[in-house]
Amino acid sequence: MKYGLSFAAALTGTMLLSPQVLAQQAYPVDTVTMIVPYASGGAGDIVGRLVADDLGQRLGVTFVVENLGGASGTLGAEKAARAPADGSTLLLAGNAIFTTAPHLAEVPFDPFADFTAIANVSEAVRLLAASKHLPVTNFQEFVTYAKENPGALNYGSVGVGSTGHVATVDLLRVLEIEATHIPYKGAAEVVQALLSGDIQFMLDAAAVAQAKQDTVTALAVPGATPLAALPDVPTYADLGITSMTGTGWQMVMGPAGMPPDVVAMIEAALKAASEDPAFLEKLAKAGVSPRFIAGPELAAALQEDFTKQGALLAAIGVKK
Amino acid sequence: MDLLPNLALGLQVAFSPINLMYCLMGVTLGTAIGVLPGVGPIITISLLLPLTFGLPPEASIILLAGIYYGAAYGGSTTSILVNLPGEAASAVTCIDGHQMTRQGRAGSALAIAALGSFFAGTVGTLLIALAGPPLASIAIRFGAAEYAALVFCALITTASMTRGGAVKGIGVTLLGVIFGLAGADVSTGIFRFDFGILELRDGIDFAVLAVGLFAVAEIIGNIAQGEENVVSQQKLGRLWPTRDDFRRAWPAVLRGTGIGAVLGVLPGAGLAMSSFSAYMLEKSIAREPERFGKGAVEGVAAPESANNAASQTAFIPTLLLSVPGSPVMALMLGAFMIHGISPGPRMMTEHAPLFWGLVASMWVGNLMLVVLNLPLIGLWVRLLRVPYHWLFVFVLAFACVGVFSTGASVFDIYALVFFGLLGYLLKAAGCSPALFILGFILGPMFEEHFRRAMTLSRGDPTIFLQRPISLTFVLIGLAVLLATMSSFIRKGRAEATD
Repeated sequence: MKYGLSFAAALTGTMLLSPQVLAQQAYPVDTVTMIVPYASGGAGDIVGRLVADDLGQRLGVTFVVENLGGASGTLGAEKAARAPADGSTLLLAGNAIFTTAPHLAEVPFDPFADFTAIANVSEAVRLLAASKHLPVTNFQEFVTYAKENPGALNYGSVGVGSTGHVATVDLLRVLEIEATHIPYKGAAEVVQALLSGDIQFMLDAAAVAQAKQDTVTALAVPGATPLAALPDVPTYADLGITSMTGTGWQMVMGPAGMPPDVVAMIEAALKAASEDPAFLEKLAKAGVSPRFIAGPELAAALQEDFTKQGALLAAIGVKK
Repeated sequence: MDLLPNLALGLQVAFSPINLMYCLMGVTLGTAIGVLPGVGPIITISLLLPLTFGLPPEASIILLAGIYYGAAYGGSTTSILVNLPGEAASAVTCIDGHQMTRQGRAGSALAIAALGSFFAGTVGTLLIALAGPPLASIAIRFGAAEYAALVFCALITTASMTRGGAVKGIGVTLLGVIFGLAGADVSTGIFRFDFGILELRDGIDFAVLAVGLFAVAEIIGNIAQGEENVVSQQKLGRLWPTRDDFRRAWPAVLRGTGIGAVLGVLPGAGLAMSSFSAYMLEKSIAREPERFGKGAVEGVAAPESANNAASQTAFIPTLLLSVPGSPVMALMLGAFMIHGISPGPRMMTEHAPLFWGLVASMWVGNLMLVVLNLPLIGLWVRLLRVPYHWLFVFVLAFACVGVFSTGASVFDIYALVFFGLLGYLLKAAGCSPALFILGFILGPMFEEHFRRAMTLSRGDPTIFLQRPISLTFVLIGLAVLLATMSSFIRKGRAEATD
């Protein structure tokens, strides 16, 4: 076994001739299963494959991606929670699995006690956009129009209790706007409804591609960083809107009780990746914004988001 | 529009040796995964996607597109030969396709499917080239009210063709609806019919249902009959369709192509709905509808043409609106974006070589598919010489591996067994699996769009009459309903006076 390990490490090391391999300490197992709790093909899956590929090179071990979709990612998360905590199984998860799903229905795990938060990799890009059928050209006009026509507007999201839904509810509360939520099955359906005029605005990553083609009116970008693709669209920070939840994160998690040195190795490798331009470019191509958050801060942020999501979902009336 | 120079540009791109090679690779791979049940274009494309990062955008998109429409092409092979739907969209082909095989007409069924698909693919490609932008503008005029009315019309029209055993027909359709409703309710997010089973929260996978209902149920049925009866299945028969087959098939191919081309443009309507509607239309307008389910060649020609036409025209909303109509199309959209290309209304001008190259390559790919598939028919048919007691083991193994590979979930295998038993019971009770699937696909679709439209209108049902497209569908539906009811009443009176 020991021979196998060092052989594999040596082989991978020579093959890559890579200074990135953390030479001082070998990773305790030679094959790591990276559970991606989504069907193959989505943004979460692509990020999972990129991270697995990158971690494999940096840690000098073989990473195998296992797609285990279903039940909004909770099926895959459950499997990761039950796996041995020796670093042989990791999870590339969206934050909604821990902060939203447990509020909506029974889940077969404890979102905090059963997991180790290792590090955050990236976050979803989002855009608030209005239909061209609406007589507005920017954020201020949108707010004015919405206040003059209370209850007339409809907005779409990818589902009741989805991060996009909750984020929109939160925004409307801050802006004191009344509008009706129309849930859809996927982002493409929401976009089509925005184009057809069934709904008047949406807050989702899918709006970015439409705004680039000028088929929808871009209003605002959540957060403080403008989008590279749409540099002229103001951010929430520019508009003076703070305290906004509901962005999507792609995080590396592990089962509870992982040895601290193993966690530290993965975290360090992800930190190094977050400073590697080649890896950042791959993430950007996958349609997400790189954002490294270290384990302890990530765990705290998840706890805080869990509480806030709980309150918002209870206010919407969908909390279980 | 400068169609000729554009097509010339497209052909120039498509006929460059490297792109021809990727096109051939794509359609060959597509045929292979189409033949293998469960291994669908989604898995294949998502696995190949990272490998195409390094290719030029044209080559990469041509390759991935080839896999996609190649799979729609190859999906019928196992449906016809062993009643095992290779792709969900080919499920309905099982009904008459496999009966043709049992009558020794497998070669004929395969040839009709291949030729019908080629014709439909050609028409679909031409539509993208000639009428892409106007068709795309129709797609964005479909809101919730229009979709609800369309599904209403489809449900009424197909329900009216259930001749004989109306109660049984309605019953089995409603059973399909109930199975279709399992999972999260889109309007409220509440889980329905999940019985506390996590796997059911996403609803029942149509691929699992179709493989169980057709392949597994067929095997149970054959074994129940005893081996001697199954031997009759090994008849090889002729390899080429008869003149009579051609005469019956070509109008069905035309109608199937029409339905598929239109439904393909509508995001979310889906390949399965197009092949299904085409089959139901053939059955309802046929002079002898009782031939269906017993090896009617129209029952192969129409759905196979429809799903191939739809798989081509599905590119219209994806390329020109950036609205992917299905998960596979969403992947294709992702592939464009990874190459830094945003599909949308400006696609045809901003990325002319890519757009026209793709369109031209689709036609070239369809040609390759027909050339590739016709000689294979002899080989496929020879597969039937394998004694049934060997063959069914392989079919079962393929069904299990295929179903498992879609979600890596053992639950899907149990579901497969369940639907196999259900399919056998339905058949034994004389209920049509087609109606079950009809309810499964259309029932939840109607509910979703109807409730959405009612929310948008704040509870005012006249929304369906205020919008011209929706009004048209509602009127057609009502007319069919009235016609059916009056014929029922007349029949009832005739029986009463007898």
